[in-house]
Amino acid sequence: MTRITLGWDIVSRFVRPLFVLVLFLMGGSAFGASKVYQKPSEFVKSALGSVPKTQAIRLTAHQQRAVKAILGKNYKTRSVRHWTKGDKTAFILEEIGKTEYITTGFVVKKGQIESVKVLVYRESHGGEVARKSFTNQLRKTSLQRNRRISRKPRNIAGATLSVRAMTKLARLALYLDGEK
Amino acid sequence: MSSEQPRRRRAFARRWHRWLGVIAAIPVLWLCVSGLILNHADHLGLHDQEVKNEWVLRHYRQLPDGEPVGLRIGDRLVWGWGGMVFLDEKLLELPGELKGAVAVRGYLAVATDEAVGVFDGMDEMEIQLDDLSLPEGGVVSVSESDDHLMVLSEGGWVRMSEEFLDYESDHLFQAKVVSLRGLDDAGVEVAEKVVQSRGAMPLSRVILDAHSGRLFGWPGWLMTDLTAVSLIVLTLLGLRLFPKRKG
Repeated sequence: MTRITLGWDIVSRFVRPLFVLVLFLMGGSAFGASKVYQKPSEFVKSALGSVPKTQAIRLTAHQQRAVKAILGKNYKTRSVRHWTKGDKTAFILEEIGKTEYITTGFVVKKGQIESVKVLVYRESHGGEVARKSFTNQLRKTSLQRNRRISRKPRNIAGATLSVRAMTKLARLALYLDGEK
Repeated sequence: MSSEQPRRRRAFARRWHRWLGVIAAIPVLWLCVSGLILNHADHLGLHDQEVKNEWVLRHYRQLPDGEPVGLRIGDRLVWGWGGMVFLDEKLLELPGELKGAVAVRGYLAVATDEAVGVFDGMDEMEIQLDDLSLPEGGVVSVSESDDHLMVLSEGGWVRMSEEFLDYESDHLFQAKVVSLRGLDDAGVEVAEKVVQSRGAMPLSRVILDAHSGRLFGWPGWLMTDLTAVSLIVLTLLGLRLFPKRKG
């Protein structure tokens, strides 16, 4: 009886990590599927109560330079749409994490980010930035004079590029709010 | 217990150790070599080296299925293939499957089922329209009428405003549907070249997935698991054979 128990102990000692390894390999085999968390129209509707008339900021050369300083490159479009209701403005912005665009919704109120939500995440890794524990770190942040964010979010191991992209987008939303 | 029994056990262990060792030799060697290479991927510059092999690119879904389709707008070719949209050889940053394209007031409007991108003469995207600016139900096609961009959705044609930000709908709106066609042989050749050059995978990633077995699907990771199990058994058998023989 003791020999059987001992034998099972040895087997389970080796089998358990092996099982974990198999699960890890199976889980990691998904290549690059995009995940839609919320449609942009639903985000704006939920953030502002309704979808107001669409407005757009057409970036001037000066604004383009400022945007380039924030993103390290030009924004993908020359005009950026926004939706304003009362003192709240919603932006739907996109930036590349590693190779794919992350579509994110921002609501800015009185120069501070009121809410952030990742709407579409297309990268195969780094999806942790869509979690509330991360996006909440960007709430109540504002833009400093040097166009840096007032409180940097903590990095997530394995999602560094996505964290950087999200931080850049938060800075961009705050900058555009001041330019509209 | 007779003295025959331990001897038989040792012979059994030795036989299994020998054969398992031979069978597992090549996979174990591969795991060791690839593991060593991956450990020095930075020094070897494996992150910068690219793999463009067709099989590898198809495996990573970098080479799309189906055929490329497109249409000519003047001397420009707008084409799409497997969720990617191109203007001549430039990849357009538009999500979705190509549905159509049309020239409007000096702009080029390119439509996918998810968005419409409006490009200027320098191929820069002026604005990207999504479900916040487009009718519900996705874009079916685009056209032009009276210097306005017309968008066809499931509910019929709508006319976009001059700034492309809003639309008005009227059941009387009509426009000519722009149809997409398969590219000719020369076009397909160019398309394959463009897509293949864009979809190259870093060598380090390919080796990592080959190391874990994922590159070869479930048989790959099953083989990796079996190799790992073999190593465990070999270790146990080795420990069993380690003590010196009595007498």
